[in-house]
Amino acid sequence: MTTSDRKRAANRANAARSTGPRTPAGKQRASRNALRHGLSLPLPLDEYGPELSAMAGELEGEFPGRDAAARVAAIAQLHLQRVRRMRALVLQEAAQARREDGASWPHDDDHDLSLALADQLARLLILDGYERKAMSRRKRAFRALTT
Amino acid sequence: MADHPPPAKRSPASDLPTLAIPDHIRATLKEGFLTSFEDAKAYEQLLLQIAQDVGPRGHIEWLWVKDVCDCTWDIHRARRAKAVSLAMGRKDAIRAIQMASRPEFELATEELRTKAEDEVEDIFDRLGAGAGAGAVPTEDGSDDFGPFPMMLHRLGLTEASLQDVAYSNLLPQMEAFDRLIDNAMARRDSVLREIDRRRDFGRRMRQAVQAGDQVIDAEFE
Repeated sequence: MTTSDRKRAANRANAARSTGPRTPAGKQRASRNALRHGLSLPLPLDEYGPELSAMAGELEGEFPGRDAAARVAAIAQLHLQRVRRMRALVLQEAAQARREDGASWPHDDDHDLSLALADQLARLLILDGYERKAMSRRKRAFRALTT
Repeated sequence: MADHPPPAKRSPASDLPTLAIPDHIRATLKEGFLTSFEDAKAYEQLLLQIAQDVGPRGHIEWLWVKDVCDCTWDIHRARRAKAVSLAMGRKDAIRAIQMASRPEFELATEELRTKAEDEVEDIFDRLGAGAGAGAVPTEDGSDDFGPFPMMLHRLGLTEASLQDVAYSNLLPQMEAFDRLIDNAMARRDSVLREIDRRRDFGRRMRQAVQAGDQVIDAEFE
């Protein structure tokens, strides 16, 4: 058996074992994974109608005749902003919680925010992954628009 | 409001052209990149100073300027949080040494706990202010710095090594901070590479970023 065959067999065996959650509670929890922040889903266009029109309008003005590409670029830009807004929300909530608990000393904005960031490092690193993907998508969209 | 990323000092305010943030960029500022715990004016000033150096033309270039500003802000935000966490770690190390060296605190009455915590705060503040540096530890604390240097001496530690103890205790967290900072720098580099694809906008942007970084780095040296 070659290395590739062995790898393929191991992958198949692992895939057979990794079929996701098995218990009803696990399935229920996993079914809501994408709803926690929705960042892996496409931009909900109904929520972003006015912003999308404004952003696409600006880009169309700069690149006349490229309406479809401008709209794709606008969607990608709004998606990126959405990830950044989520990061701020995570920090805002954590800092607010610290402030309300009186958990940190001294009580100043910078100190509370810094400790909130330390509390939320794991979530922020996950959001970094979403931001990297969003930037990559926007890069492709901008290149398609400008070239 | 406490410290925030200092806008790069490149030219006096009076020399700044009356550069205004376009409405469509201002609209994205309202998107909530900042928390209410941060100084929106400092952020806007940083954005304007990068923009002033670069002179963005058109919508996409303004979005890139904002990207660079956001990444710079992210880097500074994470560096500051790392420094605060490390300071808290030093305080924890002082507390642990105090508790280990002062058996009376183990009685753990409310009064003693308060006293112990006050001592920790006092030592932390005085060490931070450079007090006791180079002092020869004495058994009775007659160096006017109390018995803490002697406690450190017995443990084979110095005031400087408290930082190492704190870093070691917080190693996973420190590494996570470093990853966060590296990620923000990688995002900024990615934007700069995109900008390089367009005329000399990229060159000017790199100069603006380097000038801003020098100011921020100086703060952490």
